[in-house]
Amino acid sequence: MTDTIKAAPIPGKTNYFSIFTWAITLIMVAAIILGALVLAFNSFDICSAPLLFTTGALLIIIFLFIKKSLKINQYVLIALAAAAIISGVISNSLPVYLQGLNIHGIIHRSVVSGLLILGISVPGACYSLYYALRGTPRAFDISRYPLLIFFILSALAAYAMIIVHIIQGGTFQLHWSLFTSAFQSQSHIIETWENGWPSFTTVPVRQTGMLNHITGTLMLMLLTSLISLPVGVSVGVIVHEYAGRKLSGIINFSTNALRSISGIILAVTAINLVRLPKLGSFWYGVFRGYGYDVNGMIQYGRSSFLFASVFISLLVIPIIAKATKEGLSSLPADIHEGSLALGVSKDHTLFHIQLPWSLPNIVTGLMLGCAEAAGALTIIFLLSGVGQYGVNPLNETTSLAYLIFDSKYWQSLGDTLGDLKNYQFTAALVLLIITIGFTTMALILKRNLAKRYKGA
Amino acid sequence: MKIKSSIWNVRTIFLILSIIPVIALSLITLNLILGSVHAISTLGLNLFSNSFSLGIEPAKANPATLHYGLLPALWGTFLVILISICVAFPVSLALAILANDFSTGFLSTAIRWLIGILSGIPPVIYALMGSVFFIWFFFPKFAGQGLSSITNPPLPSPQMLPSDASCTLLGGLMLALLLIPFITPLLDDAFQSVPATLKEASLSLGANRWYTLKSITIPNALPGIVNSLLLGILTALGEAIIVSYCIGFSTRSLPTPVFDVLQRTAPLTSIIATLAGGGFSSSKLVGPIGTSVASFAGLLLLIVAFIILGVTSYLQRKMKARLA
Repeated sequence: MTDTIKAAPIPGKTNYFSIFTWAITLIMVAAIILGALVLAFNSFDICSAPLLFTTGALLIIIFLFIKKSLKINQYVLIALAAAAIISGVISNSLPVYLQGLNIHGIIHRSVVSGLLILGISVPGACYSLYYALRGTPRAFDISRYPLLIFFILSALAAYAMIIVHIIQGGTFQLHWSLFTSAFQSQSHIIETWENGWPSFTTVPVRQTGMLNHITGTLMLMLLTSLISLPVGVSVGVIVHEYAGRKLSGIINFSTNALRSISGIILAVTAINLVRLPKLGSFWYGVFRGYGYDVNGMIQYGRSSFLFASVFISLLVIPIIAKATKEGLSSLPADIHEGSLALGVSKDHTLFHIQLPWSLPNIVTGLMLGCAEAAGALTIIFLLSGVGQYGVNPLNETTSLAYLIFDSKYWQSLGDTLGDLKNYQFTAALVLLIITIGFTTMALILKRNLAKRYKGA
Repeated sequence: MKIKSSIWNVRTIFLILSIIPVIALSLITLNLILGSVHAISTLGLNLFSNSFSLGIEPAKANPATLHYGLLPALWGTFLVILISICVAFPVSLALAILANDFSTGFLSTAIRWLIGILSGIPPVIYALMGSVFFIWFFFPKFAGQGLSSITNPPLPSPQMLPSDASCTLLGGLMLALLLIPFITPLLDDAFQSVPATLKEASLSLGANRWYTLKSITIPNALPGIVNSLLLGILTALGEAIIVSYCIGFSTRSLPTPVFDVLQRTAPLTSIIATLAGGGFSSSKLVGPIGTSVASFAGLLLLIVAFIILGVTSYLQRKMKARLA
């Protein structure tokens, strides 16, 4: 592990070993970047075979250099060099498109060669960095950074591409009227009398905008937090106060399970529930959601905001409960016990000591819950609509997330989204601003909480 | 002075409110069990056959004419979980190691903030970007056309990729992007729960950081690592938006070479969405048996989720006992 290089640098003499290994490290890092480019663009495939042969030759040179100057046989380097040369031969002899095995698609050569380049140049960079830093134990640590940083940069590049593309696509066709007008696609029937006979003409009422989707998202967030705040806080209090009892164990398990089981299971239950009431009854309107169109006719939706937010709050309750539990358990025992020792009742302690102390935690949980409610689509994507008949708790559910989802399936879902289909990235940008804004605020609050008084 | 308060004090109200999750969970379980009885009694073992297609259900249903086999969906679930975990878990491990053992101060704080912010991205954003990634990456690489078609030689065969920018590999990769901000904090907690004294003792004896990580941190954090892996699998199992958008809503049968990830093999959650579906035009064909099959598939997911949750709570208890 720590074959420290004995040949210490002699002052006044050029240290060829150090210069040489640093140069090879730089070449290996360049090979990693080129490998990523080969994976990204087909036209970079020309340089893959020469790159692999060069890498193999450099690795053999390092091996010989170390053998000559240090009398150490690092056979790993020889194995890596052999792998590099073999994969160079492979990537040179492959046809441009790979086919066969009945696979639906043809795989470009650059996928294979790019993966081979990365697989050889990342360990190559680690080894050459190790020898460039003279093989000390600390050098062994530092030589592991290329491995870690490679994984992380490749993931972060994907996230950066997502965010940049959404900002670019969202601002491309942006105009203000999208946020001030609600989407509408109805037909207004006008009755006129001619010669004593009625005649009906239909006038299409069309409007492009996402005001109803934005207010729908805010409505879902509001209703969800109103429903889930009392339940989540009480779950947190009960689980914390009666820890160790069987009932609190059951409550804790089922609260965690609600978060962990698939949202689609909740959606199945919601759909079974929404089908229960009969047409025309009171609960039919409450569950389905209703509104009045331009002709004054009642229109039922697939589910109301109230119904949807009851089910979304099942996903938010665990978040708030966990935050409340954390807040209650962070209360220093001496404050709690001091209050009880002064003869204050348990309820009074709960409301005047424990809950005020954990209020910032609860607010953090609520913000995370709001971000969750804005983006929660698993439950409502089968139960939403356009929501063009107004936004109140008993109207048809709609949200920005549903608009984005529906922009692909607007035909199969049978909704006439029409012109809004072009603004899916604008909707994604607004949704991203809402959710990331709430998450960031929650993180800032959490960071301030960490600095709080933690007891004697 | 009031000694005994009435029954309707604050604690009772809290207790009643906190029983709501228990009631909800038991109602959901009961609904799935009762809903799946019809499918099990009608179809029996045909539920696991290798053919799935939506058609008009006859009034007198003959099990042989109904195609509600869940085998393709189960295979699709397995493929999606395999791809997403294989991509997401090493990256999360690297992030957690870099944040904990290989950096101090600014870098680890920056990584934790970045992961916290990224965890706020809702799944539908990844689903939407899946189609963009498909045009950027999958068409030039797997179909031989698209952005780089000018420089490329002409196609050796007509492209066979699905035309609506969807395949199993894409769904798995986009799901991996969702999983990374979910798994990394769990792994971070697991690494942080290892006592600092152990690490410091190892470092002070002259071992370097990599050796300490290999021989002290990872063996001690192993229950936590397995826990976060299982929770990641559970999230990948239950995710419905990304897989519906990036893979599709139904699969007729197993892909012809079974490992072919360039076809569309819709997982269980998409199949449930199709069969239970509120507004999908195809789901208007689905009759009572199809709805019941959706409940049965949901029940399968629920059973797997309960097993994984049981294992994770056992592991968490083990971790606590080790620390105490």
